[in-house]
Amino acid sequence: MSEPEPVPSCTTGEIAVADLLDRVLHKGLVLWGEATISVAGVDLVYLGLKVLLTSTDTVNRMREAAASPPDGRNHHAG
Amino acid sequence: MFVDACGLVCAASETLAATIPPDSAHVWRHQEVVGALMKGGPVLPLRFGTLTEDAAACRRLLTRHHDVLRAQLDRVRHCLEFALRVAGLPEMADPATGPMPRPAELGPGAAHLRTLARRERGWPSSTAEFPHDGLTAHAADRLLWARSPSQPDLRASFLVPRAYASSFLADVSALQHLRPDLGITVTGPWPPYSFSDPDLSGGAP
Repeated sequence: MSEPEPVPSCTTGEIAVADLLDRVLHKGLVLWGEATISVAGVDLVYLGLKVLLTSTDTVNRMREAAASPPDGRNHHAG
Repeated sequence: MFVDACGLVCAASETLAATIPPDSAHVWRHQEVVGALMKGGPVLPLRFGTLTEDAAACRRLLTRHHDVLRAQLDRVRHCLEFALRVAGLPEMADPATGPMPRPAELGPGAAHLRTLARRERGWPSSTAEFPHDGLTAHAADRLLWARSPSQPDLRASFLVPRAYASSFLADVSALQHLRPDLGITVTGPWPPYSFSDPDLSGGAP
């Protein structure tokens, strides 16, 4: 798989923090349903999973990348 | 850990916490994980602090909503989000009330409120009125955030195909030089938070 062209990044500084907080706390997929027990601090039970969503293909590529020599990036799920 | 169902995967971690406090460390950790996932393909970031009871419950959600979720993943495929802020526009006189008193003639509180009122009148009220449509030339989608007295900046989100990201930023830079009075700032790239928010509360499609 070829590497995508690097994109100039501006994700530091006070405005970047404010923009990130706007998005992380107010946007993002909301999966309300019988299986969702808490969103943004509205707690219902004491055991759960923090979840992010992606496709099987994406994870397979990540697993392949993880099997390659390390590039110094942290890929732990949070 | 990864929870698979219907060709979708939730990247998850187990926790005993009842809530995840939105402090800086947790938010940046969340961002790091989403950013790492994005290196491999399209990702729909869930609202920060989303918890499910267990892996089986997570799998039920994927199964129940897989059609909508796959459509959303296709929508953001190969795209990045950029955040744009416009901190100021030229003040507009209100023809209904005539010239406003200069701030020096008002108390500090009144002057502040008057400034906010001027901004409210002078700025666009919907995405259809965004003042610089040229920025959408390289964007797949955009949205304008609601403004309030506590959030007076004009804030916009742009969904930009990765291949056009440099062109989009060049457009922003050109606009910054052309209109320094607008106080434009751009941050990103971010995961497509603003374009990953379908309301699935209505049950299975």
